[in-house]
Amino acid sequence: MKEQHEAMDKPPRKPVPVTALLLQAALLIALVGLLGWLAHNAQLNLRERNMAAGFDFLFHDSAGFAIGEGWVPFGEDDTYFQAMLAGAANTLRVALPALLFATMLGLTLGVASLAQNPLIRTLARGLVDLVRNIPLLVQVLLIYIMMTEWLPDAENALRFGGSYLSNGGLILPWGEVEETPFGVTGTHVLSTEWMALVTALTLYAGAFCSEIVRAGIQSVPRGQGEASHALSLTRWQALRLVLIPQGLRVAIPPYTSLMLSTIKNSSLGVAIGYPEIVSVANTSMNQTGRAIECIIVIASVYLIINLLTAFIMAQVNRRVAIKER
Amino acid sequence: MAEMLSPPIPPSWRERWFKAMFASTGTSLTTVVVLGLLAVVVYKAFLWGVWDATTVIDSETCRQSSGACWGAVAYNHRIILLGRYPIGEGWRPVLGMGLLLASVGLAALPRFFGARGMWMVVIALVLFVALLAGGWGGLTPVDSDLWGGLPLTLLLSVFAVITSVPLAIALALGRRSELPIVRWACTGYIELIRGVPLITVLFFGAFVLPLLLPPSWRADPMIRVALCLTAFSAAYLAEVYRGGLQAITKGQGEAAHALSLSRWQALKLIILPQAARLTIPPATSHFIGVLKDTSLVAIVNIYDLTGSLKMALTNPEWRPYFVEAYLVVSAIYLILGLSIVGYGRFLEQRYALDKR
Repeated sequence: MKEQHEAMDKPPRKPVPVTALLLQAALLIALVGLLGWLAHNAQLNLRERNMAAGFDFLFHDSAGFAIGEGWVPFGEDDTYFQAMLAGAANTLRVALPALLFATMLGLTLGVASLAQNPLIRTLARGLVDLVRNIPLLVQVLLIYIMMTEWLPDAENALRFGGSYLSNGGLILPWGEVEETPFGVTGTHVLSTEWMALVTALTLYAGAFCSEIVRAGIQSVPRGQGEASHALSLTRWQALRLVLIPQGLRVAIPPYTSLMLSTIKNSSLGVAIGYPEIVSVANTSMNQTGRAIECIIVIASVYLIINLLTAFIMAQVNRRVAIKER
Repeated sequence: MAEMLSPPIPPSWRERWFKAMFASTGTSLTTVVVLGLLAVVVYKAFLWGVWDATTVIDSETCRQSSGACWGAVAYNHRIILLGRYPIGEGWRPVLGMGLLLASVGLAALPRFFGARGMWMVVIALVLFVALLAGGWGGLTPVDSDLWGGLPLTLLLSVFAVITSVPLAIALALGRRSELPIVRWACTGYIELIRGVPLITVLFFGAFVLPLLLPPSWRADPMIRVALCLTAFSAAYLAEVYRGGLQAITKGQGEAAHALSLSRWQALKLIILPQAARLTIPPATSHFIGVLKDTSLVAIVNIYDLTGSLKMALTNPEWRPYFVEAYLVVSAIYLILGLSIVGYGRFLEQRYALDKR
């Protein structure tokens, strides 16, 4: 009975026109032909330059370069595969803290750009416009050069509590910290490159995040704010209890794309020598000459990270979205 | 006759600001503290940038002064603005840049909208490249690896924008096509490019593309990088246009069909114009994005404005005065970006629906 009902509901299938089939067949042949032509050229070029192809180098050859920092310990004798792994971990090691700080900065600036005091509103919006319109690379390079030029050498490192700050990085107080005549060494060091990249990404993503927060809060119907005023909530209470919780719900999809773009923007580490995945793959490319393979590795790492992020944020979105009944 | 009551005069912005800034004790306190901090910052910036600053081109004077060293910018201005372009030939990039800016400025005027404006920009681009490259009419040829600075930034940005628009429209339409293979191909391309950072696409252009092309084709690095910028920009712009196309109700296409317009006519006369109006704000921010993204070519050894700035600062004599140089370059990007924002707002107002 039910099956019959379903069958009746379906509209009759449209006949596929012959031209559409021909067009698609032509496109398919053209695409396959293009790929074949590129592969053929690659073969010719590789033979001419006496270069090998394939992913075997990832597992068999030792990388021969060192990665000074990161969650995945890595030495010169380890394979390229381990180097890529350490690079991918370093991408997250810089992107996740930057996102955390950027979210805090974005919330602050977003709320400030809706302040009733016009002075604060104008300052916040001006700051956001300033950061958003200057290329991130310029900001990364400027912050990095500031840190390397203005911070003292390792011998004269600044001391706060148990940590030491110099142009070689920030030595954290836990673990082994040792003072030598040539400066201080420690087990937990945040490099200058890491600090510069996190600072620049925080500012840049924070400026974009503030726009997302502002748009989210402004999307809440005006009556909500007026109703909270009528209930004698203060402006701050209205923001915290009524406007922000409703506004952030709308902000989840644009926030997800901000997360993805911040993770991708961490690839600018290559410009200042922070060993994230693009930087590690670039070094491997220069050493082995396997450019095609290294680009595929980068693309796969980002594909995995993007899919994971999108999956997690879809779960978050499903939990906070308004349940339509 | 009873006197007519006129509505109260709305307070001027100065009155409104003053009232809002001193609305309550707490607000007044914040205002005073912020104004005080602002005054300190402005005063310090004035001391550094104007009062104590030196303008002579002499690093010894700069070392003894506590203010800004504008001489560093004056000394390096040619490298920062024109890169390594041969001395004595500097008029060529400057003239080309002037032509390009003039043509873009004219094409932005409503009276030149459409094909005429487009052609002007394309002709200016061709002339610009011809001027930079030389080799005709008595101009000495200049290799593309010597091109640089602000002209190159503008050349690459305008090229990427102009060429990515038609590609993006095609990709957006393809992604919404009823033909599965067309749809898969376009979606695959868009998502692949959007999934990786721009620097990966540039590395692809710099290191992989030469391997994939026949050995006899010696594609110039500048051409490869420009094409990569186009390919990258098109994928993002396609999503902008797809959003615009999705917002056009189905009835519009059906009405066009009922009026016996062909599919092509419906697209050109009904759908695309409406989608274009809706996409003005996101397209504006995309174009600013292209301008900013162009700076990444500095990583693959092409000396655009950012790359030239980096190159100028390798000189140890002037390196300590990097802040001055960065301020100038940031100001250039800021002026260019904010003019695009302003122009986008003008377009938005001109094509707003509720304008009567």
